[in-house]
Amino acid sequence: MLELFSLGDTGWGDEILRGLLVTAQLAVTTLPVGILLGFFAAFASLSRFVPLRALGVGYTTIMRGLPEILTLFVVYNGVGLLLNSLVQWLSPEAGSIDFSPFAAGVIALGMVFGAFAGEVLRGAFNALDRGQIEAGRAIGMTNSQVFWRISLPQVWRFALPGLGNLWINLLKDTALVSVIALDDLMRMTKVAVGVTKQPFTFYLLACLIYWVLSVLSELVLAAMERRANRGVRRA
Amino acid sequence: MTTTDCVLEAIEIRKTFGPFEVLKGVSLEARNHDVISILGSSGSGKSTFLRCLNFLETPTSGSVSLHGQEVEVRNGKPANPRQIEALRRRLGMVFQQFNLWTHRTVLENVMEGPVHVKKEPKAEAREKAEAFLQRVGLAGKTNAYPSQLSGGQQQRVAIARALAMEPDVILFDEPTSALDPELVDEVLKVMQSLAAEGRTMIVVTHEMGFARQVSSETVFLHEGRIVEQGPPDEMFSHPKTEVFERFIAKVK
Repeated sequence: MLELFSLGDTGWGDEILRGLLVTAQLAVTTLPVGILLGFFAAFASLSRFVPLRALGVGYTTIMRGLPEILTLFVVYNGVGLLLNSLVQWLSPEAGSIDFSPFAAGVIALGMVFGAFAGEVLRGAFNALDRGQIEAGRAIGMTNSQVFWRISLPQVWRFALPGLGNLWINLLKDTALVSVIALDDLMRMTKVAVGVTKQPFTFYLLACLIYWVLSVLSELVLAAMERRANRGVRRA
Repeated sequence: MTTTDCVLEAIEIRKTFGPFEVLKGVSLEARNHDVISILGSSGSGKSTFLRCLNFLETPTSGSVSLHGQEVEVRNGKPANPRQIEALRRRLGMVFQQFNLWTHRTVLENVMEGPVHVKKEPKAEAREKAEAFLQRVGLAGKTNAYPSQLSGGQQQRVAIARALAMEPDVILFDEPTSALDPELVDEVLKVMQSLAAEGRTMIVVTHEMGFARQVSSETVFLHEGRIVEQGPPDEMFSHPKTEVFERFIAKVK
């Protein structure tokens, strides 16, 4: 049975590992996109400017209401179409271009992550004590100093548990990209199952790998939370 | 009294919140070494006035000048944010709720302004911060976090943080009101010693003992106006208005 998992031509080990690498790359690339979108969404929903607030609230409400897999299809097909018509319009002689499934995955998962992260961050900004900010202003800090040196570290502390949850969701949601033919861990597992006719063995292996990824993430997150909470009295 | 003596001057400060006019034109002048206590019952506008001095509240109209340099207010907005930052750098502020930064140690709280606002070298700022912490009797707490300190200790750190900016005037917004009664004295003692050093201070307070014994001038605010003002002894022994007489009787 170990033969099945070997790294050479006879086993599936190397394929599965390559799939794992794609999954990891996808998740790691999506994370900063999602966090950035989350901050934009939070700022927009907290804005006093009504159209901007409507945009922020609209984005988080719509994205959170859609099944992730539909978002992925819409982005993959829709953005592909859009890009192609744009190319056609700019230079009619050019052929059609392929929209990479990896990019579609990053955009779709990033948009989903951003919508949920927007809500987490909005809550965190609301939890911030105004006195902390006033103390910064009172010594003559600029608005950007107040943001980077006082607001952000404290918002980070409030938001970290929620963002950690979203990260673990993201790791697992990457499996969805297998349906748009990206060779991630899930897809390589399916291929292996198709060839070997041993579904239980390979699905179990995939479960184990996703689970190890989650446990590792939780260890890192716990360490980050300890650091972010330094100086805060335990309740 | 020559005009050069005047450190901080507020002229005709008005502030409206919606339909409510909280400050109806309050003027105050602080000269070097003045310790001015601002008294008044809650809702009199005394905290709002103090917060207008460093623009934590923007006055609806009026002006604030430090050493003759005026911060302009146009249409209820400060004309230039840089001017306000410059003003705040020279006005210390001590809050009722201390407002120490919870994610920073005591020493980091005190060093923050000198290092990041005044751009002093770190080593120099650290040395001074340690001296100011010693000054308020907290030399041993440099590496503690605010949450590990009592309210009185936190407020003394907040005073050290204000001192570290080497301000021209320190504003105190009810500095002992959030403290347990047994912790009030340690903070008042520090404030008293600052007054004795000749620091210029404006203090919004309910501590009548401090107002009478330490301040050089007392101001009584009522419904957004100054109704009495003068040396504390005279004011307390011969109240000129009925509202102030009633106020004294109540707080005694």
